[in-house]
Amino acid sequence: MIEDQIRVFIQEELSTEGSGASLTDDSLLLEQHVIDSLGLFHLVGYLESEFGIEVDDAELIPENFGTVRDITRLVEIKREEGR
Amino acid sequence: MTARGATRTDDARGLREDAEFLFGDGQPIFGFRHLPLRQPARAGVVICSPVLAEFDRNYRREFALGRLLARDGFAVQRFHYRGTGNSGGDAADVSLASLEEDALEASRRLTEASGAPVSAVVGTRLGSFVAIRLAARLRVGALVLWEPLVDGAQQFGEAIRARLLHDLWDKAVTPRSREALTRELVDRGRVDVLGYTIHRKLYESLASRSLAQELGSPPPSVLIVAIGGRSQRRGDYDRIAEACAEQGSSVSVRVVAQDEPWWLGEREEDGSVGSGTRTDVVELTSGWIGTVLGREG
Repeated sequence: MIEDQIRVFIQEELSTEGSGASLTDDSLLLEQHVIDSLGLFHLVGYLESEFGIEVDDAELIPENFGTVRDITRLVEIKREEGR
Repeated sequence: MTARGATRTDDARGLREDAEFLFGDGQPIFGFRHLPLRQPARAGVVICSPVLAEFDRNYRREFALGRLLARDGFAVQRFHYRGTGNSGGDAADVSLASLEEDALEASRRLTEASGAPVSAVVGTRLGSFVAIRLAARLRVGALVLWEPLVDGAQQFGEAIRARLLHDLWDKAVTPRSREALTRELVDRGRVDVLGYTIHRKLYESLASRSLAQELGSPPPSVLIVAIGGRSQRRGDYDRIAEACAEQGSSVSVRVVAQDEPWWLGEREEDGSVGSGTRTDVVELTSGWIGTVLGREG
């Protein structure tokens, strides 16, 4: 499942101290600073390499990166577009 | 050329280090030189830094490379371009041509102070463009490029991408578009990227330049080091290496790890920027220069 992969990546690689354990698919990643700015940079790189997509500048918006669920939806749409 | 500065010797490492301001035409250039303490330098090496955030990210690597090469008998010149760092001048006046002139002046000073001709040039990111031009003018035997830009536009594209990501994280709002930021650069003459100001003159001098174009007649030996980050540049580097090889150059492309992107490094507790002290690329480069120049000498 894409959301599982993304959630685990954030929990294990990116979450700031103490924020990863309780992470759900609806946790507010940006507003609650679950990840820092460097983490966001790594996250976009991970999505592009892991799922074979390219995230455009115009897609760097809160609606796409607010939660794990938002990110999953973005990845699914991008993969669909790429087919 | 005149110079004013200070010297320290390090008996334990067998080094002499000179910090000085070089006074040629115009504003002073800040320079820092690493020299072998107990014997004449076998050859000179000039290091051409990147700019903006990448200058900070690379600083300790360049310092470490200078010391390591000096320990191996080379005279090494580092310097700050005019309009940057400790040097005089205005950041708004910096262009690819001014960077090249500053590198040439630093090279002259290295030879004047050490007696050693410049035989190798090292450049990182945008500094690679400067290094290539300097290498051609001085006809050096060896050129090292650390994660060179494939084209000038890449410098600004990646910087603006970093700002977009930071704005998204910092404010959790939709950031301004790349087009809006580029328009601001052109219309106002500058744009801020995470506290670093990109000026129009530098942008315009680089925007249409490419690494392949710059490497018209490469030196006999070239080392391209891909430093971590995103992988799509490796293919570009391989293609550039093939083009150089067709002109008779011996080119190596090597990859070393780096955990953090160029524009968003984490700060250490002492305020320095992290990961710049990784030694993989420094040791690789020092060893390669020693081998190549030893072979040629």
